[in-house]
Amino acid sequence: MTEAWIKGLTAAAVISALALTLAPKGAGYRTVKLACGAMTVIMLIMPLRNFDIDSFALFSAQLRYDGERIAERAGEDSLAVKRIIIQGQARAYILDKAAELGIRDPEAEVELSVRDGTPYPAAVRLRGSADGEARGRLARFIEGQLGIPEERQYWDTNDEN
Amino acid sequence: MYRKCTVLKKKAKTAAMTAAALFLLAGSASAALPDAGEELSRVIDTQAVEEAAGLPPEIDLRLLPDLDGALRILYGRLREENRVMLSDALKSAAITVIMSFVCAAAAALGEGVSGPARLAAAAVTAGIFVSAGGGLMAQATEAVGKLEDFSNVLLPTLAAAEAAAGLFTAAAAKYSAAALFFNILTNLISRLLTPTVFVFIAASVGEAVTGSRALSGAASLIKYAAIMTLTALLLAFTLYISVSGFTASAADASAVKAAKTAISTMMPLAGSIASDAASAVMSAAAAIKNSVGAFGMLAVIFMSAGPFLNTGARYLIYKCASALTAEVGDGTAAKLTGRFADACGIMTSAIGAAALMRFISVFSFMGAMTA
Repeated sequence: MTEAWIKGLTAAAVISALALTLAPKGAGYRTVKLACGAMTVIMLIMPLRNFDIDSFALFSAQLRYDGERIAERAGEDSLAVKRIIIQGQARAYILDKAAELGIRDPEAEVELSVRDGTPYPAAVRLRGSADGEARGRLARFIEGQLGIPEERQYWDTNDEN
Repeated sequence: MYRKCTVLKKKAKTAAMTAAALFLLAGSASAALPDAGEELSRVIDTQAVEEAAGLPPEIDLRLLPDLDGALRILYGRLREENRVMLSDALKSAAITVIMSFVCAAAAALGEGVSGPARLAAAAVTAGIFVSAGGGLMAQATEAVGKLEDFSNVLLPTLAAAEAAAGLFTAAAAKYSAAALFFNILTNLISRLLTPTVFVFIAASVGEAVTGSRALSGAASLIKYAAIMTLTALLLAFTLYISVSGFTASAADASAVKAAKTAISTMMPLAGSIASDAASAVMSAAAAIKNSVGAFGMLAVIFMSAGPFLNTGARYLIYKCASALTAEVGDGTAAKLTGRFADACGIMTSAIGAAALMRFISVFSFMGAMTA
């Protein structure tokens, strides 16, 4: 395609040169000059004739889709990172409080739910040796500070009481 | 009034106490906090950008911004690469000047010698420049191709970092706009502009030999069309990426607002944790985006500086030679040298436009921050 275009453009330039050399001076010369100019411009923009608008639209749509996929995947990845941070930090707070309440060998696994793209602590699975009062105080702390209701705080039964 | 003040004081006291409690709690648990930057860099692939950039190993994405060191390396490399090229360009210009003086001397000898001398001057000048022109075009096309390959790796990484910062719509819009325009420009340069420059050179040689005004007009038209196309494409790209980025950012702002509302309804500590996590991820994503962006810009400079300076220096040298010889003889060699300078100018503009488009897109990614 490019080769044909170059040949056409070169031919237009050569024909223009010849025509202008042979053209009589005066109005005739001006007409030939105008025609030669038009021919050169037409040859110059000739590749636009082969422009496939459907392929271009398809290519553009494909790029839009690719962009959305990249953003979607990155969104999932960043949500996963947020989950790791929130889970880690919520667990650390619970373990700190459990240690403060005298609970021995405490363990906590925080489960998250997502609301409007933001993960939040929704349930917790707890382990450790604790008496009823310590458990109750820890449960109130978890509910009051982390918003996990007591009915979603699950204790594994390896305690003394 | 007094009651209102008391209420406000009480509220302030409660807020201060809550803040202090949260600070203490945060302090006690901070040791267990996972590093957002570390976690995020595991999922956003910056390694691919480093590999595709092909920069010297001294330039590390994580050690940025050591711009001084990077620019020193670039300077050393360019000095080495462009020394031979500049000496070639100066030799070509010197031969053109000598040819012009030979023509002038021949014209002084008489009418019969003047015509053949003019043809000889045109033939020698054309020979010199056409042989150099092929190499120049190949170098320019190769540089643009390299930029396109690098962009195919850089753009997804930047878009991923922007989306991780919460700007999903803006990331997708900027990615698709930049990728589309890069592709159009690369195809335009390799498929249309490079052949057009050859036609321009052919028309210029024809004009010098025949003295045809039509060929002169055709050459001028080709040059004008090439420069105008590049300018229009660059302007359209800048406008498109700015508008699409702006519109998409407005859409993302509502998502950020919804997330903030969700956090505000949580219990104090849970809200604080969620808010900290969102801020940490956003900051880490912005840091990755900025370091990848700065690294990407350095890579673009490394890829395009050599060919850009090569064609740009030739443009200046040939223009100077053309100006020096304009008044010597009938000006055939001077005019032809000026045309070759224009050809170099078109290629310089093409490389410059390709690099500038990358800069604009990187800036548009780096400039965007979530509220």
